[in-house]
Amino acid sequence: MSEEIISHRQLFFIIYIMRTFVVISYMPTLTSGEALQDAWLSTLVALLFALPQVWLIAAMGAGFPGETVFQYGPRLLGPWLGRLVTIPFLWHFLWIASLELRLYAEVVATAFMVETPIIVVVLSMVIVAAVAAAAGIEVVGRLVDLLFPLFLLTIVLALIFPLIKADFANLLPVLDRGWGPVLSSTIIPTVMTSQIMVLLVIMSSLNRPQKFVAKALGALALSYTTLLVGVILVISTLGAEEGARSLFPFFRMVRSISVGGFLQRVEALNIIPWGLGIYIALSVNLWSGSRGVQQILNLKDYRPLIPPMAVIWVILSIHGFDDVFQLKRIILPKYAIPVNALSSLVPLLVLWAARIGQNIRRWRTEGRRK
Amino acid sequence: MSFWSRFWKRLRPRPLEVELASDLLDLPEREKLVSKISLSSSLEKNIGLVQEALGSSMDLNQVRFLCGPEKVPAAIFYLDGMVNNRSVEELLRALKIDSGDTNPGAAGRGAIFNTARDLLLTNVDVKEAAELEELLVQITRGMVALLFDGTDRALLCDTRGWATRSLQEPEAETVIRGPREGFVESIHMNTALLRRKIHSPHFWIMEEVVGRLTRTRVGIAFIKGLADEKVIGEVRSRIQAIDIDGVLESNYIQEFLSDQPYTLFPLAFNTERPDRAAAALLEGRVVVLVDGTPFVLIVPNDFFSMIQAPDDFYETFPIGSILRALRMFAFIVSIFLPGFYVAVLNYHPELLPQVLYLRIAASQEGVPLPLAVEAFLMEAVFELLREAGLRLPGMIGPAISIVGALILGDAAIRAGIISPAVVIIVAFTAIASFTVPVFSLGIPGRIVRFVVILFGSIFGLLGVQFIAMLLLIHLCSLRSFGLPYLYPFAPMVPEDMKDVLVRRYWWQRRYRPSLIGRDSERQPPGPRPGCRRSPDGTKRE
Repeated sequence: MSEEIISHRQLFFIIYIMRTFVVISYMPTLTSGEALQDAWLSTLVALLFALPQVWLIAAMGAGFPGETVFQYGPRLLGPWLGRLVTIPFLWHFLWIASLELRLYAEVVATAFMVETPIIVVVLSMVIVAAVAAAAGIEVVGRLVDLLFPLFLLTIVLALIFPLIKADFANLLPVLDRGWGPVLSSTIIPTVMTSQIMVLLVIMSSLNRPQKFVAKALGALALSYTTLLVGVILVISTLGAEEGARSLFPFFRMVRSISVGGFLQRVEALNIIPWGLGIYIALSVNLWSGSRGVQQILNLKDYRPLIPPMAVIWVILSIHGFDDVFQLKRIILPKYAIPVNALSSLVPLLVLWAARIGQNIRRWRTEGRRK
Repeated sequence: MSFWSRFWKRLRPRPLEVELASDLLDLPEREKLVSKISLSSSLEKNIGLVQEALGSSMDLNQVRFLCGPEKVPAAIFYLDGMVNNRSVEELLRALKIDSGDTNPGAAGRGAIFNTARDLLLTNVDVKEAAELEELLVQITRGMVALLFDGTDRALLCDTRGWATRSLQEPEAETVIRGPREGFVESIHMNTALLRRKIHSPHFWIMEEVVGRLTRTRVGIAFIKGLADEKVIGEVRSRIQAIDIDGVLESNYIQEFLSDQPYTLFPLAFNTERPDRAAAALLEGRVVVLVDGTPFVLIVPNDFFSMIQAPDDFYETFPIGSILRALRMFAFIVSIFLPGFYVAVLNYHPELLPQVLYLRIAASQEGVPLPLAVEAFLMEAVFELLREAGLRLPGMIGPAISIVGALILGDAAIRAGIISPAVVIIVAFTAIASFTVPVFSLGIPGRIVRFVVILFGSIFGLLGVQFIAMLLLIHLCSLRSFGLPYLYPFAPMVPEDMKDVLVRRYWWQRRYRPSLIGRDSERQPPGPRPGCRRSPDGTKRE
């Protein structure tokens, strides 16, 4: 099905949405470390750390137009080693997506649908994602085109309303405790950037992927800019301490807004983009995962793989985590770093090593011929 | 019948015309037989053939006469009511009276055939036929068949003329301002209506014939060089592939044309308005006309063009834009409002302002039915009333639906079975759903509405969101002749979006929709109104 083509704009939107909804909802630069009122600084530092990572991923995808990592991986490393190295990516897609799924389901179940069993929430999202993934990446691309304006509008509105309450004095003092706390808050966002590892699969559906690398960096920068504004607003409305302690600071901030007595309950402005982001992220992950399994096993079509994968997913997101506090612990450095390193960074580096090695060999043989 | 006589019968081929008279033949056998028979040079035999083939139907008229100075026996056949009587009379006058003045041909009796064809007949179209099938088909089309003794060919003269409806304003698509003529059931009239709007030699209409029995004429109209050749080719090949016995309405064709049959949403646009069809042609779309129905099909179709009404383009800019936004809003409301209402009241009452919620809750007091059942019931009643009003004869239809709505609604509220709030919601939804300018888009909206109520009542806003997402994915996955259904929003084409969100001034509408036609420039950059043209009248760059 590699004849499915999506445009650069659509992939740009996908990356932006996938990254933005995660960072704006969890605000890892604020909640995961000790940066407190300097969280905006650690956002900038995290962006600096994330950019090379994205470049590694995007440039790898750009090197092999029309092919997914599951096709060029075995070619670079040999059939068995190649599969061994690329299979962790599958696990990674699955893990990230079930984590995001459960987090959103927890929010919906605690804030809106108190009596609804969480599996209903999870199912409703996975079914939608499965339908979208079965319809193909082109349809997902069009869906993103359609939803992006809504996503942006709600995010922007959610960033405008808090200005009423904002007290920017909360941002002071700057760098009171030195760079240590600032850096401690950048670990998790940096690690979780591996979320966009799906690029290794989706970029096979691009025309001229070489031109996309810069755009991928741009999308990431844009989403961190959104985060930066969000973090500043959260600190100045809620205060650094309270923001850092809450599970979902942005949600909490939006919830605390009421404008002139008539505009209440504006947390929909956070829930809507979050939900849209989840749908997009889930369908992209599901699509990438099923494409991966299809190519590793040399199957003809990926669609029959989607229902079983969706079922595994539901089970994993329900039984993988006990409650929302365990979820929170999972995103702590001592767990997140090894998981992400093993499932995404190390395989990626191995692939790069193989690619560079291949290039060197090619360069040498060509040199010898001359 | 003994074995041997049957065997003998089978061995000796019977004359075809004898076989034709048999009642034992099934339709395919008759068709096959007729296609095998050629005309003979004997007039009597030909007359026998025609009569056997058409079964001496009551509307088959036959006139026998002697023609020319040599008094050659001749006959004409036509179907009463399919021809214009005056043309037939003129034809007979030419053959009976004027033919006496011609010179007797040196070539013998057969020459009268050529004389008639070349000199006598004044019909607009005269064809020759040597096969019985061709002759019969043309007779059923309203031609007169002329047979001469001694010639094994027939002349087919165009005398067609039958009663058609006069041009009327289409009732389903009325406008305040704009042309009031609508298509009629005759394809001739309809092509002429289009031609009268587009006087261009590049406006082409291809003909196909569909339907083994009805032999319905189907016209494929497009502007050559503007419409996408791939779309034209695809339309033609899909229509040519149809092998059905009859086509009575353009939906027969529409279902064959759809890219994705399993959808509620119309993938071809149907309209009765020549101006809409002409506008579509000017955008590079293809129009399919079907004889026998005033509804023509427009492909490729996209969702947002169905939200547009012709008035948008005939009223000045801001009015058209605002009304279009209103209709889009109304369409969304008509799908989601009742389900949303049920979901919010059942699961998220905190989303409503307190005073409003208390008021609604008070009206809900004492109502025996669950809210979801109430909403379902009232929506069903409304659909019943709508359908009844549609089916009843024109005079009493509206009266019944108004009386039904008033009495039912009022009595239900007074009896305390239904809460007034639900009636308000249902009535509002109904009004909103009638603003959708295209009937075939309103129907899927109605069906989805019931699904939304169902999921909203079980899962609350989560269910509404669930259905909304599935609906969006479905709409995103549809294509009509390769054109994405939600174009220009998904995929996003910013230049074309400008014309969908608002209806821009005509002098701003420089480009045609870029994914549809081949040549996208509608007009060169011209002077804005209020700017002076340069003195020599040329357009400013």
